[in-house]
Amino acid sequence: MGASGVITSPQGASRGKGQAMPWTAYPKIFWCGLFFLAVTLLALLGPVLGPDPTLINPELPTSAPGIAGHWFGTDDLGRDLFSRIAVGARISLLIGIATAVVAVIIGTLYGTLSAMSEGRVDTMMMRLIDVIYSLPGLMIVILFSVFLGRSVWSLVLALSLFSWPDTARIIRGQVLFLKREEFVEAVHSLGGTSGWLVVRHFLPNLMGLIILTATITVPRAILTESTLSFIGLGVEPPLSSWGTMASEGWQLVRVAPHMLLIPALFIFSTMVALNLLGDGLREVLDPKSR
Amino acid sequence: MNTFTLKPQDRMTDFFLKRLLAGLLTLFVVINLTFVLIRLMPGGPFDKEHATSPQIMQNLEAKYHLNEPLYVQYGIYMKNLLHGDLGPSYYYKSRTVNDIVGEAFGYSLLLGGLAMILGVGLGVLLGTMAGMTRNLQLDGFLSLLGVSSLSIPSFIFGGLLVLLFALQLNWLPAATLQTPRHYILPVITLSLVPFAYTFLLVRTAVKETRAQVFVLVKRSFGVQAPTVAIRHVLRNSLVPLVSILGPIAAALVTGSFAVEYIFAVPGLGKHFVNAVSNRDYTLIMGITLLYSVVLIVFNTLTDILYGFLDPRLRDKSKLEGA
Repeated sequence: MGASGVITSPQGASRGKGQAMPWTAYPKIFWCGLFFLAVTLLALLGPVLGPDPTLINPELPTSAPGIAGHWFGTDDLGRDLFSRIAVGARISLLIGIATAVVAVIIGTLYGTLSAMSEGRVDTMMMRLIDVIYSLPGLMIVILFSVFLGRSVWSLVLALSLFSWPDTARIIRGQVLFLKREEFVEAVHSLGGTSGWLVVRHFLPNLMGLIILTATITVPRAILTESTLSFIGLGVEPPLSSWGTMASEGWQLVRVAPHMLLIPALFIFSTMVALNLLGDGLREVLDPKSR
Repeated sequence: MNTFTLKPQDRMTDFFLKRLLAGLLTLFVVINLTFVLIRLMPGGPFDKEHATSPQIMQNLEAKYHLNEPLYVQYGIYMKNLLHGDLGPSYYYKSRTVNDIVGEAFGYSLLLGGLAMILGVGLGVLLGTMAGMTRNLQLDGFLSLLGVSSLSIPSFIFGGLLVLLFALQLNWLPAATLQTPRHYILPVITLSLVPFAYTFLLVRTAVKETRAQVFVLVKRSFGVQAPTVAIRHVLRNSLVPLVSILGPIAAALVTGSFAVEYIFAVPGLGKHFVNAVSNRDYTLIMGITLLYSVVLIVFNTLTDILYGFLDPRLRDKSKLEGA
């Protein structure tokens, strides 16, 4: 395997003369990654491409998609839905990605520490995870985010609270496996400390799994956040995520179904892309599925 | 652990004692965490938009012991809880939390149970089909269905069902639970998550089992393909399914929040959301506790079932290893 973490294709040496391009060797990773990139670009550039998302136009309330200047139509206040989707993407993606980053950092530290300490400490640390798993997660997340003030960052914090144990378990398992490898003895006999072993040798080995667990965490966080926003316990009004928009669309579903359908389409396609991306990465990066 | 010296019935008692202890520990964590989080939330149960006179406010707080120090309130709550009393609701002033929770639990349990049966049943059926078939297009189509149902949030699926079958086609009622017909859309919506989890797991498990040598041996002995599929492949593939029933039940709770919101079902999820907005401290506590107990009981039951289906696991304590 390449030292820099470059993914080598399953065909191995047969690649080289441009035979196995990324979209044929890893179609899932390529296309889903591309789609996710497009949505990210929309989030970053969308508000520049479309009209001002906060611009209220009383003459064009709930107009259907296709009207000149409004590709996705307008909402009940006549605001452009395309721009609102782009701004909503910022909140939804930010919460998803930030939650994954926090969860993966905590999970990796916790999992590694647990596996390295072994014995009683390891057992205690894993019991704590068992307890977290048996808590009614969504309810604690709701209480926590209300207490913290229902901002983007309080949601990220509340969602990470129940996302890191998954990563911790996976990383712990892999570290326990790595500890039995022969090179560990070599490092120790050459005078290497455990810290050196973890940072210099285990971490590069764990990189694949870390990327994988992060990819799996993003859609889960987006799903929970959009559900919370839909039932009115997500981000608060001046901000709006895709879930908030779907919630507004649901209130007006009899008058303007496109206000529900458009955010629904974006949530769904992003979730499909991220889940398939996770699948594709698992096939390549998870040592268990080889 | 020298559990191997114990008799089987001792092992069973040992298992139950361990689970009981773990369950009580979880409940203790839930009670304390919820109690603290609720008190930390901004606002209180009697902050109404119109200003209440200070005298009335004082009387209200005194009536519910909210003027006492926190540790006294905690003590009173715990004492009542040990007597099975979840306290009075602060919002629905004439009702107790036991009363509200008891009524709401009925709806949530019925919806959740039906959704679980439908979702897991359909998941096993289609998962076995996708796992057994050699038709790549059928497998591809079913897998797409599986990933899609994992990717579509319950509130979107439910919203689309209402839009199509209730508002456009007018075939089914859109909300509430008055007649059995009213149950169709919410149950289908809620069964989405159990279906997705079950389908993906059974498909993989069946594919793996099918590749094992004993299946070929059975077939070469002249056992018919459907018999092998059901008696041998499916039975071996269902063991891992039991292990995800716990996570499915937990996911069902998440789904029920959105589903009860969409279909205006007065279940636990809807009451919880309202209770959070109303700062109805005791009702929040009551619902959270009830859900925790349900999850603990459910997880214990699946562990027992797991040992029943896979005799190799009976001797080992499931908590170890992992």
